[in-house]
Amino acid sequence: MDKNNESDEELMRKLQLNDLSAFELLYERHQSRLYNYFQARSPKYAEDLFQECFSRLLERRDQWNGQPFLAWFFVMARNLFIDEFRKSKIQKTEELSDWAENEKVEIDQWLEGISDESKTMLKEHYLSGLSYQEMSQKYGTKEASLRQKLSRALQVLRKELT
Amino acid sequence: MNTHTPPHLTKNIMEYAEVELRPAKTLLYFYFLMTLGALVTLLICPQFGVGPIGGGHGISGWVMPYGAFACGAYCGAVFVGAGTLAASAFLSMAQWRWVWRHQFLLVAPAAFIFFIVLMGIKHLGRFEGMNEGPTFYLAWNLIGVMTSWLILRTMKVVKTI
Repeated sequence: MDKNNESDEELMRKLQLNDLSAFELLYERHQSRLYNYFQARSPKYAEDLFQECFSRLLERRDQWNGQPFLAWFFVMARNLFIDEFRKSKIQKTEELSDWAENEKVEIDQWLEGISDESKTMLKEHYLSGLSYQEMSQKYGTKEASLRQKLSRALQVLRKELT
Repeated sequence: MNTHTPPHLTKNIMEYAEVELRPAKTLLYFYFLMTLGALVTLLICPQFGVGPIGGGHGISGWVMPYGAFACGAYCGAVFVGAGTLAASAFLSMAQWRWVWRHQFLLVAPAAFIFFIVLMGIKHLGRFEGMNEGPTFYLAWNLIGVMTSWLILRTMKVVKTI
């Protein structure tokens, strides 16, 4: 089978068997997306983070256990960015606000498949921190049905992310 | 936004991929450099009486009065430590990262093999060692590996600056 037609997951399985060409193809496919991801969050450290992320992909290839590759890889990228952020390597407030802005855009994209009402509820509960009680008063609904709505919206969001 | 990945990053990552996925070359190179660095120290500090210009205790004479543990620790630190230092200094960044990840797995067997080989040469050539015994041998291996670990840690700091 031509490697170009193989899925990321198939290439990952080959990478777990130390196949260098599988890694080259994965790199070819995702390098520019990952580089842009870090450029958007921290232009100053983008190169270091990019290099570290692919190095970790190599070092942690045995930890991948069949989940969708892209989700796994970008969770790793995000964790790497957060780790570096915590280590205070990335300190400038403007970088923080750029990052927050980008995260917001990404969250909005994920929420596209959810109704407007549920979207607002999700944001109010998880981003603004409103309690179920406060929200049930605001919307005039029972707490139980509010929880149900949020749980359904979360299921849609989870599907969107995997 | 669509930015191109700088070519030097691609080069670095591919070099690391080669090392990580085909480590045998790096492993042999590391052991080769380590052996070379360790052997050079025999000129000034013979081990178990084994040295290219005769036995004796070389520069380690000053440590003899402090007992077998101190002697073993000193000799192990010089021999294994110098080997690790030489290897660390000549490895590329990609090779270095791989070595750093496997530090104990690489250094501890190397120290033990050095020890066995030197003991073998000592017995075959009937060289005369000094202050030797179980305490000396234990200190030689233990402190040799610990010194290597300290050198690797120091080199990590140096190489990431």
